[in-house]
Amino acid sequence: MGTFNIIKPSSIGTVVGGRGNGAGTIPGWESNGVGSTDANLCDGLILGLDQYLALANTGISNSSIEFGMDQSTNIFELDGSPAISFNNLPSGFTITSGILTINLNSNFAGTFTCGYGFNPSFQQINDFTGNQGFVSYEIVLSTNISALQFLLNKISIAAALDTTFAVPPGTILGLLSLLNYSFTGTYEIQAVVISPISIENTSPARVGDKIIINSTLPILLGATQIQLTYPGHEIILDLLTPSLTIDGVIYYWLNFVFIQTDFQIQFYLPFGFGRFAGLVTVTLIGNGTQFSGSVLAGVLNVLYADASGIYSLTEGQTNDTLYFRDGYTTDIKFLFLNSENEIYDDNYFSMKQERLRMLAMNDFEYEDYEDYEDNFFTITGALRIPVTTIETEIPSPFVMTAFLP
Amino acid sequence: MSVRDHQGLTLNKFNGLWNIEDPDSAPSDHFTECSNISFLGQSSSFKTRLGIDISQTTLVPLSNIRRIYNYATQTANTLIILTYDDISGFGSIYHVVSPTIVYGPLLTITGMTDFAFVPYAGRGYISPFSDYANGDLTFQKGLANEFVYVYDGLGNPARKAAGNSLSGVMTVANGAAGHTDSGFHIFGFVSQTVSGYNAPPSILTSFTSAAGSSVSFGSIPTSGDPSVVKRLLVATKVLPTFNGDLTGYQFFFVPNAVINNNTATSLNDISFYDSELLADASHLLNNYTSIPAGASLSSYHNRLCVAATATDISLILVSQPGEPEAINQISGLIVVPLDGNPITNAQEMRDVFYVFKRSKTVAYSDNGGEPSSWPLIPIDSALGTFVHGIATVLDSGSASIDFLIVATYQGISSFNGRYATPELSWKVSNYWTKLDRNMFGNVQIMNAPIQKLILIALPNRQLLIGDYRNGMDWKNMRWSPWNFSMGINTIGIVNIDEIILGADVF
Repeated sequence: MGTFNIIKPSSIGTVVGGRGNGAGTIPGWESNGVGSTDANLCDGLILGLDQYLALANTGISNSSIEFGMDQSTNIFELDGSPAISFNNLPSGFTITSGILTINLNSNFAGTFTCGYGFNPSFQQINDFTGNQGFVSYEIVLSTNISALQFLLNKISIAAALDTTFAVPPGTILGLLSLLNYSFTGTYEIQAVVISPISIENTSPARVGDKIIINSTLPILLGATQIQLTYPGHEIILDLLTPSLTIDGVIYYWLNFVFIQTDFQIQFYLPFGFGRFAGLVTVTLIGNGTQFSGSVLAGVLNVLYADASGIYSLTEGQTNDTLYFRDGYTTDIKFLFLNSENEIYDDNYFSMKQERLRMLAMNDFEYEDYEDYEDNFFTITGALRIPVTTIETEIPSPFVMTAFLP
Repeated sequence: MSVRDHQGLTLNKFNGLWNIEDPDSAPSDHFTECSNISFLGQSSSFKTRLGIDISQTTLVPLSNIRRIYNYATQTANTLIILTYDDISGFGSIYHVVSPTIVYGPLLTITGMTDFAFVPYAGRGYISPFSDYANGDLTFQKGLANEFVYVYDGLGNPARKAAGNSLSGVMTVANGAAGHTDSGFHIFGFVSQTVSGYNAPPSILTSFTSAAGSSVSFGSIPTSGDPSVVKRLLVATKVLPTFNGDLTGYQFFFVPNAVINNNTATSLNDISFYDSELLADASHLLNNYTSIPAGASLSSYHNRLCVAATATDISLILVSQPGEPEAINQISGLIVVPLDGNPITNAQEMRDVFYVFKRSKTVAYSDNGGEPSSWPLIPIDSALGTFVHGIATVLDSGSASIDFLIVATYQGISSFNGRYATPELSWKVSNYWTKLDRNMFGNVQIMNAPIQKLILIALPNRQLLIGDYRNGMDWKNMRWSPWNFSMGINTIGIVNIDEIILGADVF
């Protein structure tokens, strides 16, 4: 058994109430005296009274901030050693106990709440009313959890002003400060069970991608279900009565798993994930003969891509061509302005017909405009979802004949 | 028996999926599983289904498609499409004219997860609806506090069908020398929209005309509705007595007394005799000025029919012939016998108006009188259909004339006044009955007679394909489910035989 210390959160989740400027002159969350970037806020949580995370001077009720942890940032200190990331934790790392401590400092006159939760629920740990001064608060994890479970559930820390606490914006309220964060506990390295079953896919997968599960032992014909789980949701592919069940609703789908042999199962990642992107646990359920119970096959990193849209069936086409939207981008265009516009003052852009919000100031000084008199230009930025296409194979063309004598 | 004695069985016919309760009953020329298969002509060969390609080549194609309707305008076969933003909760309707031209959104309404649509004289009538839960049952009815909308087919935003009457007061006086039947008249004006809807007579004003004079009208209000293009004068014949109720008399359109704009405020020197007052306008007094949204839109005898409104799931609102927005609030109503289930669909066939609930079918026949007087004809007390459960044909957006292909809880049936049994989908009855009944509102059927295919969008975001090149009966239909990497939930056809599929985020 050893001790671990999660030195700080690595990401900022939802921030309600805005972000300050670090100087306490703009209402919102900030790391006092530093700033309000994600990194500033994470750092502010672990600092002391001289430099703390604060909700400053805001009249916005129900303000809150949420922190999360990821798998790639070096935040795990084991037995006092330099911090490593979750991905570099030793096999079998299991948290056996943990204490999360936060100090609160407030001079609010109203009610506020501090708590933690497994995202997205928020478990209130206490209510405070009036000026509390300095309060130390501890949260004890009551059950053993694996580090993976800990991260998948995105444990978060939050502080919120009560909804009843509404005052005119801009009113000087003072500070609600979170500081001296610490999260320590014990861990052990549990015996690692070598499973014969594993997922072959190593790259992130999208809905419609082929997923291959291999086994080093001839047992996969004994699988009766494939369960795909992610926080709050479960998708089940039933192999005995071919069907697809999404969060308890059965979607009858013949032959969804199209290859099932002793050593391999192949299936297409079904729809049903909505807009989810993240880690999905894949579990096989045995029939009690080749293997019993549920066996973890692995974890899939599922990416979201919006393939919705209008399609046409096309004669002679031997694959499916799908719309592919997997994120946002900002197009940058040079907008050349005609040379008839003389520049008389710094308010040049207000003279243009283009809407102001579409015009981004570039770095030119006033004198520069004269230098570029014949080629005035500025830059427009337009947010859009890029739509490309992706070629996919037609899912499982498959027939099975009747029983033949 | 030794292997030497084994007689080989030649498989030379493949007639698609066989999925009834007893899988051992599958004949050797059928498959017990059969996914993503197309059949080749009338032969017994088969191949992998056709691939799909994107249908829009615009920079920002529509996404999250909930419903597709064929929309035959006066110049082209196009599509009307509902998208639904599951984050904001807004449903938006677009008019897709070609792969590169999209009009819209024509209409955006919170909570519009589905809509009914019927083309009429080049225009399109739109009724937003959504799912409602009643205990364990889910059914569809018109959105509360929403209305039927009309779209002009030209890319302009859809507007509420029907419209309000004029408000205000006007002046009436004797005009130049002319003629009227002297005596006490009541005059008023009817506003007419660009889609031909006549609002109820309003700004009713009494006036005693003189025999040798025409009548002139001043300070005539204009309408705030930009779709109003005309205002028509209406009048009573001479009233020997008057009880003080301006609306309690019969009004007629006065011949040649029309203001052909929505700007002029006077109409002068109108002469007429009472004997010329032939076109009755009284029925307009009881018309809806805005038509409640329903889950079903259909047409019968050139009338627009709206059914399953938010407040009355068994009510059908029937318009005047040729005036789809003129629905009388008294005589234009049909109440289908109440059974707790909403009206789901309605369809004209062979001059009869068939009305469907999820498990009931009745009919009405136009007897020449008002719709409320049409006699009820029970058809089937066990079988009915769903909001998109009647197949449309080609790109017409309407059903076959001589028979219907109908989705019922028992399967896909042909209907020619009675449901044919066994149903067309008898061979896949086990597959059909395992579908989630509460999601049958998503079932949509399309008949592609060129390819001889019946395409059914299923609640499980899959297509069920029925090939009837060997005959449209339960024995000769060949079935195959098709699935895709995304959730297909609606279908349509353009350009005679181009099959369109719509997918949402699921």
